[in-house]
Amino acid sequence: MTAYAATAGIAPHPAWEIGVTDARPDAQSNAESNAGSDADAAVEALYLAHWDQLVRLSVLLVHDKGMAEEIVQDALVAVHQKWDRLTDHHKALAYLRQAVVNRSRSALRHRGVVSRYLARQHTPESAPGADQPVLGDSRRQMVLDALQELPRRQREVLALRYYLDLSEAEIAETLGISRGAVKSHASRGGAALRPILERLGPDLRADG
Amino acid sequence: MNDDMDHEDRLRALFHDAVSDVEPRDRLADVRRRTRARRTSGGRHWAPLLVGAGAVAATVVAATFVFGGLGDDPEPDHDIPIAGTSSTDGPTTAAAGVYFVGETPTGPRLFREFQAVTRTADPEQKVLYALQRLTFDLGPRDPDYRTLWPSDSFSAVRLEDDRIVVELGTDGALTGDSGLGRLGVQQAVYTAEAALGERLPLAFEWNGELAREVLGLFVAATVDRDSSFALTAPVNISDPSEGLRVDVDTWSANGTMSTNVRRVAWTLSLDGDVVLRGRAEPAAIDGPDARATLGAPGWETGEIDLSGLAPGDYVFEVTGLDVGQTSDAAREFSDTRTITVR
Repeated sequence: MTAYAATAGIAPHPAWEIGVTDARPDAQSNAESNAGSDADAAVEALYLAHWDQLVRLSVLLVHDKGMAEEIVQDALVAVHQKWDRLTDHHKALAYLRQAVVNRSRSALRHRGVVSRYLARQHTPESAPGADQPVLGDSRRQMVLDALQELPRRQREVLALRYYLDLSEAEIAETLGISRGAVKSHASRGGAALRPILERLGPDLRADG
Repeated sequence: MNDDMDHEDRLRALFHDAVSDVEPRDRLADVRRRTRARRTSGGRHWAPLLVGAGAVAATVVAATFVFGGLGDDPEPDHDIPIAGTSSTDGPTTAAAGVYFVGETPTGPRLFREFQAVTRTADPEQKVLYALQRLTFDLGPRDPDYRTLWPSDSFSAVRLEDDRIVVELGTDGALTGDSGLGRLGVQQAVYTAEAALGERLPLAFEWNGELAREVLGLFVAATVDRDSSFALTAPVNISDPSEGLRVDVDTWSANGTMSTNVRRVAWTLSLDGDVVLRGRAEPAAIDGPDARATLGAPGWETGEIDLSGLAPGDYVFEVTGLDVGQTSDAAREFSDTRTITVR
């Protein structure tokens, strides 16, 4: 079972703390510039440690890589903007995660102007032929499609749980819901994906 | 219990595998620039960092609003978008918000229409592709719009920290009517900023030197977006695009409006006869969409039932009452698109 080895190396860790000290400025006179430079360094550290992983998380939620990159970039800028008002800078990663999930949700809700226009451009003739996707692409597409079919909360809970490996408590905090609700969404969402797991077989191959 | 554990492990594998082929582009330069732009004073510069995997590209990589879309569309003039299907990923084109000149009761204004451009991750190319849509040879899809830029006006784009440098490709882009030239220059500013998803002034260069006259208008070393109320159309249709073919029973439209517009109404007409009408409601546009539309407030129609309509070419018109600032008295402004119901 090595299907996720490629991403295991970037599992959540306090990379936030790599080379970054608590940013609360002590000296009043330098407070503003310190806060600015600390915010710069902090956001950069967050980027270096979590960019790939958070973009992939957002892809699970919105099923669009370009959009996911925009969302995570916006979330990083938002962390920077609110840096001075963050009460606990060690929770910056949690805040960033929350911003990514919220913005992914918002992007889906308002997938209006541009995306609807583009969606309408899509013609069946321009879609990849059935013989074009390789097996792995096909399998991944099936999973992402299935995720889009799930109720939004279930999708969010499952992505946080099975992609980010967050605990129930962390998921509850990220989504602002109770732990009981997390458990319930995870259970229903997991059950909904069971047919896909069965179809993919024990080693997750589409033809298994 | 073992079954549950196995189920959990397999879900974990499934989720990791689902995005294992997603390789995010390096956007650290974007983040740096956007956060740096926020500070007006103080703070040190970003310290150079060595990035282990995926070193930061030397070129500036810019934020962009573009979304993935399917449908290869090198020549949108010959492409008719179709409603009722959905896109997933694997994009070959992106939508660019391109600004053209259209008439209103108070004179010419800028109207935006979305056009499909070749998708690229390079922000300089992204801006160039959008700007090239402004020239006579390509120009607007909507016949009510026009453009002031001659063919071959834009030959290259260079992105710098504090400006977008546009190299002009013909001396025809230097001359013109200075009154309209203001609109023409702003066509380029609005279009470039929408492509970039960021507010940055434009500098025009001709033969390697700053151009001081563009479309007959004397310009400064950099030109900022002119946000005065008399510049952009008070109501503008984003979706549908001109010539949209609709083959579904329900359909909706949306667009942008100025902050002073009240009572946005729409009609659908066949041969001049109104067959459907309704009110549009204000709608928040946020996220990437907001960058595409440069932060303008939105309107949307809600679902419109087309099931009883005969096939044909219909004119969708949206009208908004502007109650101030864009004109002295309350006036109605409108925008239209032709759609084909099949």
